[in-house]
Amino acid sequence: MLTRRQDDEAIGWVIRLKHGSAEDWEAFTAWLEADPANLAAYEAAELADADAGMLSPAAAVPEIPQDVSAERAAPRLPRRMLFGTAVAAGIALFGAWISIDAGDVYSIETRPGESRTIALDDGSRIEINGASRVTLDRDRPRYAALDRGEALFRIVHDETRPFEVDAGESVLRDLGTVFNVVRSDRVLEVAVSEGAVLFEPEGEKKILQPGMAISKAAGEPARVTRVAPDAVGAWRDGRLVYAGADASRIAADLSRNLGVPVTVAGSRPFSGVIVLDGSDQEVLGRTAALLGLRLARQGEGWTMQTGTGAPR
Amino acid sequence: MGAAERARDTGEGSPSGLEQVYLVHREALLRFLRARGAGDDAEDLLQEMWIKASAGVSGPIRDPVPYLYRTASNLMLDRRRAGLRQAKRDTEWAGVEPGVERPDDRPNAEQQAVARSELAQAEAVLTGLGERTDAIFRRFRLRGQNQREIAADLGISLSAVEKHLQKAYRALIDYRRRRDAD
Repeated sequence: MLTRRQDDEAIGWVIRLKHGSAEDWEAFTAWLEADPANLAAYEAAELADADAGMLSPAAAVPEIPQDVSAERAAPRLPRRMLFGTAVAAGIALFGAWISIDAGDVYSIETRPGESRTIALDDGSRIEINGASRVTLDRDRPRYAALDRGEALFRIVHDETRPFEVDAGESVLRDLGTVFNVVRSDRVLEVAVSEGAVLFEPEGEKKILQPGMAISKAAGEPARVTRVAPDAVGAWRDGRLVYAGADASRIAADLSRNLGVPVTVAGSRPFSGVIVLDGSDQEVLGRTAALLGLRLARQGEGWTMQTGTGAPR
Repeated sequence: MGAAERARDTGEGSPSGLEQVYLVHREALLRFLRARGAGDDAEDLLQEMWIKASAGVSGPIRDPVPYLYRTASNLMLDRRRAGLRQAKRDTEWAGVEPGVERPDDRPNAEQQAVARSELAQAEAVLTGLGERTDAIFRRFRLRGQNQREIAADLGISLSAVEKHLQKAYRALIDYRRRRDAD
């Protein structure tokens, strides 16, 4: 019989191991060995965590009745129907859920520092960087959504069936194409290396040629910039290439590629190349020097700050 | 200097660097797999883990030791899930080329319907915990924010974030237990 304490400890491990160090994993091994029952507690927490990966990144319907509480006993049928209604309302609010309801949508999620390459039936490839999620739809083989993070799309062009990438506020349509997409809460960036991409086919209809990039902050008009075509998707070779990037973009890229949380203070636009070679500390130390900032430890991660004062 | 740092100095990122890390940590990983319930299969599973871990590398890996542990842990998770489904694992999962996967193995319509209904109920469980817990959990689990970032964004303490996360996980575990008891 599992105790509540074991459950709580197991949950603690699930949380800690999301950004766990080598030492955390060793400590976790020792915890498992300490009591054979710990494994069962961990497996329950782990399965709950794995299932949670399919939930919507945005909070669902706010107007859920107060009596739908997790502490309640198992929901009976009428309550299930109530849940159904709530989810239907959620579908109206969050477009991505429409297809989940159609039953053919699934997501591929990477952890920080991990990257994966997905081959589609038509020969197209999606290379997914760390801490990212791509959603695909079996009913729409020429469609992908970048829910968050970064991916390089290598699309086999078909004039009759354009490939579309849904990146939240914006839609991208391939015109014979290799292109990289970065999506965060704040900004969407698309850079084209080969072929062309049609940005917002139903709206602005901007054609992006090789060497062009577009940057769009939430609620603001898109801005077209230049990019070296061979710098597109350079993260795959362990390089981050920038032309006038702001601090938050660089911090997000470093976190995703290194698999450790990084924050960068200051907002001076940066142009140059960061090579992801060596230990985290070496990479970040070089980056801080490039940015004219000072590197410091911050909790489980790192921060780069201006000035010489003590870290926050 | 711990084993992790030593391993780093051997040139992580390249497959050969990863292999050295693997060799240094082989015994610890084996011990981990046993603790995770691998039993007599631990050696075989370690091999399987290494094949997956080395084939999946298509970019530099900054933290190779946690990466190997995660791969091993995911392997055990997959195995357990396969066991729970009472179904054979789909061996076609791996692509023809190393490191390239097929998008997924397609579950049947009934499984999909069940999964959808369970997903909807899990959503409701989370929503029922209140806006704060719901939002904190989604930031952590689904948007990849760490506890520190969440604490800073919301202006609350790290331990408060931890408590909200504990509450959310606890509710999701309880939901699964109720469901499985049905």
